[in-house]
Amino acid sequence: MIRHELSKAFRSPVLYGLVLFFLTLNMALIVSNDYKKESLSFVSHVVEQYGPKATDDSLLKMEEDGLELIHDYTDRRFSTLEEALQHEDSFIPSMQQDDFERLKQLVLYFETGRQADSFYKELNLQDARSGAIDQYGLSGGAEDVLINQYEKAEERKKELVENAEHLSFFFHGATYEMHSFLFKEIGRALLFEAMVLTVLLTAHVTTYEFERRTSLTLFVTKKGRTMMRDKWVASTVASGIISAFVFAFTLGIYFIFYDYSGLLSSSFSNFFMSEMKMPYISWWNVTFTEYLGLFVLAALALQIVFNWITYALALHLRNGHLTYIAFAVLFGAYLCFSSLLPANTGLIFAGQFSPFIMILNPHAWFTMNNPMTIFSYYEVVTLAAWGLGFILIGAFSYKHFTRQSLL
Amino acid sequence: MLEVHHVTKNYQSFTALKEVDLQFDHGIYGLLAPNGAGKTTLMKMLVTLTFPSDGEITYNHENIVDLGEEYRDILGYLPQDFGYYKSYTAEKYLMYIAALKGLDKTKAKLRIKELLELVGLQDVGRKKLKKFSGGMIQRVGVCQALLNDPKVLILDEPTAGLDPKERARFKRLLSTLARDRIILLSTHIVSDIESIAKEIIMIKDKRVLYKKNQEELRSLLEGKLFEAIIPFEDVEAYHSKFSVLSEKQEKNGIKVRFVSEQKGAWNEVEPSLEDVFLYVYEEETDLSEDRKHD
Repeated sequence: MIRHELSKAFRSPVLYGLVLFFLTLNMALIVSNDYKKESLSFVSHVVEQYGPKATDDSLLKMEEDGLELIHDYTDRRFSTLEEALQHEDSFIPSMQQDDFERLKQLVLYFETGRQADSFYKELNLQDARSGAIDQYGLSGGAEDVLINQYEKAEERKKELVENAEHLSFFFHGATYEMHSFLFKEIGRALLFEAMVLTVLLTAHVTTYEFERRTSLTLFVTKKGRTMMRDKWVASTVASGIISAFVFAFTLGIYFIFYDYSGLLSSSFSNFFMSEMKMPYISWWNVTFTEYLGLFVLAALALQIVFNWITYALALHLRNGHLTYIAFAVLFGAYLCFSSLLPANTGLIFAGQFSPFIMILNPHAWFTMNNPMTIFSYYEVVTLAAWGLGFILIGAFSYKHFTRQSLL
Repeated sequence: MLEVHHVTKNYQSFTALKEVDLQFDHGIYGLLAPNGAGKTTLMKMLVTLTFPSDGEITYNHENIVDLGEEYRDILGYLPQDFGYYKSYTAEKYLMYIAALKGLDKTKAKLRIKELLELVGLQDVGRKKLKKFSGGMIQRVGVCQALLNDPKVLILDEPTAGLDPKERARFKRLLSTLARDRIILLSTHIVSDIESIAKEIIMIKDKRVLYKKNQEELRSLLEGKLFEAIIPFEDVEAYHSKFSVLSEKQEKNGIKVRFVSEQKGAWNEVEPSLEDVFLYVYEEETDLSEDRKHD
């Protein structure tokens, strides 16, 4: 019977229209960074020629190649790139455009690589902590929690330096902001799109009989109200399928469009990716591919949690439109509620463990970059707690439904 | 045996049914009452769509709610407002309901063919339901109720939307089916159950007023029902003195059919089930509406 319920899920023309609309939107979003595409690919050549990490050897080789390029355009001989760049007027005006671009990129990655070690040595997380305490007005228990978490972050920072994770080449973050582009702009768009599809689809399946006035006929059959159990499973599977499809299609196009070759095995917590003062640091030593995998898994799990929330709402409301509205109200109400939590106790952090907050900051998932969610298992705990909670609420709602009057 | 034991149904502060006791054995039972009397509420309780606030309903001495799937397996129900999926063909919709009723595919296909023939829809089984008339949809509704060959068949206003020919066919069908099962049929149209119902149940003021066979019901007005042709200006006086069940325009005045406890110079007439219905629900029925059913 689950097959029948699944077929109801995929029978909505609105769903297909929305999927098409979202995919078109995502394509437009991906193409919007088209102008960076050509210069982005340089980093792949860097990895190919100098290896995956900015070690002393690879930096030396980069410097030699840079100098060789410069010496093609000037009779002067420089011993370091730094020295050469102090006299850039002697070679830049005569350089061909291609060589100039190549030199510019080479210098960009060389300079960044050279600064990596000293940057992490000087990186003071206590400053970040103080900034966060001031920014959010934390005191008392909340301040203690943050102090404790930044101590763990400090440990992780030392560990990543020991592992030389920070030396992995990646797109230059301050120049291209590719992490934000992929995980914030595209990632957040994907999450909201999948959420909209999940809520629509789940409400559609759960209220199908009520909306079409077949409930009085179908709920007195032998299968009866136990059909709602099948709907739960079917809507979960359908939400997973539709979300996975939108993710796979969009990310597939993204990785065809932007060349990540050579970077897939780069450590996520590298210095090159830094977009702001605080570089991205994941809680674990993961490669970019592993991070992406974790991100997609968490994103799909998030949709399952939204599916279960919607299922419980739909069982009580038995009306598709009311369910959409109730979900939106719940989302908004939770955001208001979390902003009202006192900033002098750990409660302010407890309030962050919510799928409604989690969906807002996907670029900071599994990292220590958002002070309010600076917990190594923030994503896992949020998904597990809300998932478990809504399994129980769903089961209770189902039980309640079997004893309710259907008029 | 299906039994209703002292059942009361409240909707918050409103009481729809009060202390209802009924027993159903094999045969057709007609639930006759005007709209809003609680027929649908009683039927929804009998099919477990809603539950008694007090009392219980049992099938073979077991509570139907506790029986759950076992009870629903022997149940056929046609709701007053039979919903369907417009884009489905009649066969597809019936196959879907058959699956929900636990019938295997092969058995279901044969049963659907048989039932579509029974209701005269064998030629349109593969047509989409959106192309069906109201009467055809109602016949599909009857088919789905009969899919599992139910021991308890509950039909809420089943003749709504059927033309006279279809109604006659439906009455014949019910008579055939009633031999080995309980059929409870609710209606406010007397002719639907006249001649086929084993017993008629009348609900008034939230309680069961009568559960009698048609003969017993008619005897309630025995020797009390009269007809007279009176001048138009006397109609008002008759209304205030007697229970006037019907009026009919004649050449030389108005022919009134009325109930009187005392005999007079009027023609005594044989009471029909409709007379009993109109008399019992006098305050709740509108004569102009009743004439449509003559």
